[in-house]
Amino acid sequence: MPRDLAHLSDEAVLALLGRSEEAALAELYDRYGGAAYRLARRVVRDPNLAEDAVQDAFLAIWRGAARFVPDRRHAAAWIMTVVHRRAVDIVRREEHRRAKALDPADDSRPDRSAAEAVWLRLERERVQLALARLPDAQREVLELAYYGGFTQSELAERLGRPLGTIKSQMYTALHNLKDLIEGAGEEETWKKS
Amino acid sequence: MEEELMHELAAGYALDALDSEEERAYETHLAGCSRCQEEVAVFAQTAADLAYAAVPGAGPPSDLRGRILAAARSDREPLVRRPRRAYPTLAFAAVATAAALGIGAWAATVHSRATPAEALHGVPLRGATGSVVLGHDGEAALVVAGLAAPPKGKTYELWVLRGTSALPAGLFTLRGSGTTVVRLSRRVPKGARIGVTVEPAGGSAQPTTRPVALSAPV
Repeated sequence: MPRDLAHLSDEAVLALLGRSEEAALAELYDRYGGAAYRLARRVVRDPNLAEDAVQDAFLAIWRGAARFVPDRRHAAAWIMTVVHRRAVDIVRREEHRRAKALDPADDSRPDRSAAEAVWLRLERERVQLALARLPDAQREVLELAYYGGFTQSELAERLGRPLGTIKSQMYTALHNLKDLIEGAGEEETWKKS
Repeated sequence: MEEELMHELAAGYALDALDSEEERAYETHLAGCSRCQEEVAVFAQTAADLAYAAVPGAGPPSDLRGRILAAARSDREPLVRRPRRAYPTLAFAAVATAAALGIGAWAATVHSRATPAEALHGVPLRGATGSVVLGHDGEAALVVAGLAAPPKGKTYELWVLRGTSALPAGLFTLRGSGTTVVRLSRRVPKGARIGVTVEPAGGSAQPTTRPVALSAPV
């Protein structure tokens, strides 16, 4: 049965999840478990806590799927939002973890399929390219907030900038990043012509 | 806080980077601000893009999948047997409405470990169609349909009413003609009622008109 779900859209899988179909949860994990774990690990810095974050998030999705209104653009973003929130909650609880260096990859396993690995690599490069084009101060604020789990007032203190500056830098940074990501494809076309 | 500064918090909200008090204040603002709702939806997408840029590196251990599925299985059983609450349909309607707004369900799932059935109950409204939906910790949202838009220069204001005291709990205007969901900016103690009055734009410290809608005691 689980095999049959592989061709369904994320939204269809979420709809099945809303009816408590366990195979749908398995399918969703197969699609996003790897990316979710890497994100959680980047934020919490600890493999065991990262597992906790991923497990919490998938259970929240399991319980909340009935409430999700299927929307093509938003299903994957919704999943990553839940995972990120769990990871940030954990890192704020485990304050000392932030000082710790990221563990080196120790138990690296390949992703489910070569196609998924390629897709993830392209996606990563696309976003990293956009990030690299932001002014340093904006990139710093975004990365520390999203991957570091720092709040705006923590950032103000850490970076020695006024809170109001952090707020507007974060807004401008995310806005610019959105434009850069969206514009990446168009620019390619323009260069070729 | 000035309106423009409030809008600016959309980015911090999407990145989970607001301080907790500010996050609560922003969510109250968000419930009544369509501009912010659209912006948060777009920013959440961009924030999720950042997830993919995280790192190549170690994947999850192979037994995590099985543990999650086992936890989901054991999670489901008690839910089936749990007795029904007083207003399950209202609670569901509130959550569904919030989901339709694209934000509430998102926030609810992100912030709460509880299922809607166990986390929420509702009390009916008089004077308008709708209900007040409460979480177990006193957090509350007003779900109302069929209110007319307030007159020009006026706003709706929420109140937590207890005995002779009235504490302001947020302002709202209507989003179109459908159902409106507004999160109250303060917790509601047991036995209090929720009222809605029409006030001058900017709100009042105490109600200046009779309630157009009033809830049963919570």
